[in-house]
Amino acid sequence: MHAQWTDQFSAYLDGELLEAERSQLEQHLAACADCRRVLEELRAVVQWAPTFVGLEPAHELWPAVARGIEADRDRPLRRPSFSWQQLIAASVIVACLSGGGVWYAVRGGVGEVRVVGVVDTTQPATPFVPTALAMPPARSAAAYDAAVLDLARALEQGKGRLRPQTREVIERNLRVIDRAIVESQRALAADPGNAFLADDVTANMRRKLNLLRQATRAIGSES
Amino acid sequence: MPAAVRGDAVAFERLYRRHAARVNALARWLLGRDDVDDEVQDIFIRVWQKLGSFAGASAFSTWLHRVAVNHLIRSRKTRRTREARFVEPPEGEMEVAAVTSRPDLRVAIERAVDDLPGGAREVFVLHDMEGYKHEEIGQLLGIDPGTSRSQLHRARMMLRVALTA
Repeated sequence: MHAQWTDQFSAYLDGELLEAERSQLEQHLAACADCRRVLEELRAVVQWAPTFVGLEPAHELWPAVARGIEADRDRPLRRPSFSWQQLIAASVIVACLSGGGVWYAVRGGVGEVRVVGVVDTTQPATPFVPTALAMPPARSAAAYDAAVLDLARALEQGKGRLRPQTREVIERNLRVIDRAIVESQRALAADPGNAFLADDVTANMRRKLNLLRQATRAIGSES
Repeated sequence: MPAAVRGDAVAFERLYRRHAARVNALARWLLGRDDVDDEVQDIFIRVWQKLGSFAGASAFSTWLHRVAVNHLIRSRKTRRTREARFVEPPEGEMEVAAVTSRPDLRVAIERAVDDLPGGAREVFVLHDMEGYKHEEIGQLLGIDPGTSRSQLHRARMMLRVALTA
C-alpha cells in the first residue's frame, strides 16, 4: 500500500482534491491494483455510513420519556418565542386568511342551499382564493370578524323561528367548528410555516361563515 | 407529525419508536460510553418541547438528529469540564478489533465503530453518518477543520478492515 497516495483517498472521495492532485492520483490508480482495492474499500465504508439504522437501546426507554413529557405538560405554559422570519410569515398568513374570509363573506357563493341538519365536512370546499393580492386593503381581519358577528346576531335574533331540531343541529355544528378553528389556529401559531395547518385554518373559518349564512337563510325560509 | 405537534403523545411515541435506535447510537458514539439511557430520554423530551419550532424546511429526521447532536455536544462539554482535573489517558493507536471471526457483518461494523479512538469516532459519526461539514465539526468539537479531515480519514481506514472482512 502506498501511503503517499492512500492518505489522499478520503479527500478524493469527498471531492476535496485540487484538479492537479486528482489527476495525479487517478494516473496512479490506473496503474496500481492495491491502491484501487483500498479505495474501493474506503468507498464502501462511506456508502455504508448513512444507511446505518442504529442500535436499539438496551432498555425500554419510552415509559421514562412518557413521564417526562407528561411532567412537561403540567408545567406552566411558557411564553412562545418566534424568530422575526416566523413572525413575518405568520403575519402574511393571517393577512391572507382574513382577506380571504372577508372576500368570501362579501362575495357570497353558496346559492340557495338550505340547512338540512348536518355540516358535511368531507365535501370539497367551495372555490376559495385566500390571497392577499386579490383583496382590497380595507378588507381586514376586523372586517371578517364583523361579518361573522353580524351573521351570528341575525341568527340569535331569528333562531326562535327555527324548528327546535334545526336549531339544535346548527348550534352543535357551530360549537364543533369553533373548536376546530381554535385547535388549528393553535397548531399554526406553533408552526407558522406549515401549509397544511394554514389550509386547515382557512377551511374551518370558511365552514363557520358558510354555516352562518345557511342558518340565516333557513330562518327566512322557515318563518 | 401534525398530530405530535398538537400534543398527541401516541403520535409522539411512534416518532420515538422510529428514531430511538439512531439516537441511541449517536449518544453512545458521541459520548463514547454505553450508559446513555438518560441522555436518550432527555433528547426525546427536548424534542417534544421543541416540536413546535420544527418548520418543516428539512426532513424531520435531519432536524431531530441536529437537536440530538447539539444536546450531546453540550453534555459532552459539561462532562469534560467536570472531569478536567483528571488527566485523560493519551489516545492510543487502538487497532480495530479483529472482526474476521464475526459472522454478522453489521455487528462487526458497529463494534468497529465502538472501538475507534474517540476523536476519529466523533468525526466519522458527524461527517459520514450525520452529514456535517468539517467546518461545522470544527466548531462543534473545538478542533481545526484540518484535524477533522485527518481524523475522518483515520476512522475510514480503520473501518474498512471491518467492512471488508
